[in-house]
Amino acid sequence: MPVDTFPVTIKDIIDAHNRIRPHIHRTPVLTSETFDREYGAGKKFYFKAENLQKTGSFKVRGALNAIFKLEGSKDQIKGVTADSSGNHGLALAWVAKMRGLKCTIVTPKDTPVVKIRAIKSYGADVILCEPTLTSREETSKRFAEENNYEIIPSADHYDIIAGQGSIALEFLEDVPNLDAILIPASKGGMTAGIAIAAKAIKPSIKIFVVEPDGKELEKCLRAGTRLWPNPPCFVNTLAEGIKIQQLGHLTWPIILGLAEKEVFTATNDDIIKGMKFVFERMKVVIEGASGAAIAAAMSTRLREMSSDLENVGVILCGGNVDLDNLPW
Amino acid sequence: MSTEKIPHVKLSDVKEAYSRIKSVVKKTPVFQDDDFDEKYGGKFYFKAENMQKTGAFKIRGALNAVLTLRENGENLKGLVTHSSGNHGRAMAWIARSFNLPCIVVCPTTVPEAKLQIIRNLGADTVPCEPTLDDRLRKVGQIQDERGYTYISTCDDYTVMAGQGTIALEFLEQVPDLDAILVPTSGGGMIAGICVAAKSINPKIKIFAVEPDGKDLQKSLVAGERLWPNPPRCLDTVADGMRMQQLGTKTWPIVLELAEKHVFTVTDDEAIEGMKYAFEHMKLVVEPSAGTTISAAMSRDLDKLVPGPSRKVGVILCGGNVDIHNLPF
Repeated sequence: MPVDTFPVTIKDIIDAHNRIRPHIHRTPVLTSETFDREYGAGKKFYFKAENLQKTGSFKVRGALNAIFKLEGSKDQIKGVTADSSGNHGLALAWVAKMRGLKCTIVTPKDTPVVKIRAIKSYGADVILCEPTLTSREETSKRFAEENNYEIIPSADHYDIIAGQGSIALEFLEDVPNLDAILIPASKGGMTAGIAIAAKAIKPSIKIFVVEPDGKELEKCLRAGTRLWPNPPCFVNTLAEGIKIQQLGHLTWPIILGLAEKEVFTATNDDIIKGMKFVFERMKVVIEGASGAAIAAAMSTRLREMSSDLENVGVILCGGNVDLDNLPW
Repeated sequence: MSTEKIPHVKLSDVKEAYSRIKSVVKKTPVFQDDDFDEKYGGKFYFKAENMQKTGAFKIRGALNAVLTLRENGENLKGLVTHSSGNHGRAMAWIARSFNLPCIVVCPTTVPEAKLQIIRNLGADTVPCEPTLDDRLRKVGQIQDERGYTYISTCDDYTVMAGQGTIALEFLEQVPDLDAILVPTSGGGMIAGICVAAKSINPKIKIFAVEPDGKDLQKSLVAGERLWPNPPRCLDTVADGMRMQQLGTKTWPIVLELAEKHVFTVTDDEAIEGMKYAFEHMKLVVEPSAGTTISAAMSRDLDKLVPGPSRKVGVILCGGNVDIHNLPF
């Protein structure tokens, strides 16, 4: 599908990048000769280290862009709120502090204490809700209405998608000859943004989604329809950042139109294997969702794919893992 | 000409070392952390030798030593060394790449996991008592019986010159550093860094960082080696910094060029520094690297390198840690 048919364009993403650039890190691209040798079969891998981003994940990109756009359109913002199991909440709290805005994050009561503490350390308030997606969304909607706060969604918002797309601008500037990018997806904000930017810059590039076991995204993409059951629920995965089963409603058409139909699925064991490789050989801390992307890069499925894919990008989306409860 | 006859290490030796090793050794990145800067005042630059080939800086010195011997026409039958970990690992890697047999004499206190890594690289390990005397005795035996060449972990001018290349890179990446904090065991790295850094910028201050019990400052201030004999090993969580004494060749260089003040770090402080790197910087570092982070946090540093615009370099010497047994 032509990339300019979507409501978020490369121009939106370039504008987003210019808007947020002074406040974010231009994260490094890491490589590993060991990884290439053990898993490459001739391919070279490039790891975009968003775990080294401000607040420990890529989420600040979308949060910053959304807040800056909001400030541009409203005279007065009473406060901002979101429902999040962690990284988006943390990012939003950080941005709100920077912009002098009040912030309340709604998070499930089984969120690790270390994440709740981190959100509070940026001055945001935390409301705990039941550990279901419905409870998260309803609680934050109710809070926003009662208090006249703006909801800043974690993914399903064009300004958020545009912000996340800035990852691809940097990645393709640093590694212009990428043939494919492996992107972990929950609601799909990052995948949608990267897909639009990357395909606009290099139409032949392949966007591969990485999912946790149970998301069943490939079935949906091949059918061209959302086959997920309702109400929306979580997938049973140790990767907290990619727990949401369904893609968002704004992200779905973009991913359906631009991503490859083959989706890489990671079990908990795959995720642990991926995390361990990065901890032990690349010496950076990554969380489960990034481990899933590594597992996809290690997979036989990728190895057996066309040898046209010489240079493969992998998004290390975050490093906010509970160090007292590493999954090994 | 034997490397032992070179009376001292010069900047030109370090530059030659660099041209020898740079096609193999990684130019490691330098990281910053805004929160650290804000909390401790000034700008801190963390040189990520944890991301170096074999997971620590040791390969720089070991490779320069081996390449220099080959350049000088030495016919190497094999390599032998004694090490509690990182140097042995580097030597095993180098030996494998030159198709040479390698024996690493390891104290019985070295964890099996580290021994296995060395063996996986194709080297043999031979146990010894955890004393310098027994390490050297066993090494001597192997030199006599097999004619293998001994490469010291620190007390060798070509090893020092190799380690000095860290400073060449660092000062290219951050030209106006006021000081560099260097973890110190036998003193190979600090000697090399002193020579290179002070030649480039005589005003720069090179500080040794030591584990509790090394008592280096006393000796530096007195101008003589005050350690008891025979040489002892320290009981420290920083397993790469076990040697109490500086080497006989590194001592005069460190005495002449390093600052007299030494930062002493307890086990708890080293672990705190290490945890900071994991949690806030998303870097996997070993306890020895935690010592320099802890030193960077110390109030003593404020008096020695004062001012809000100070620029402090911090060497993260390695990241070879057992992720199943993190000390925090």
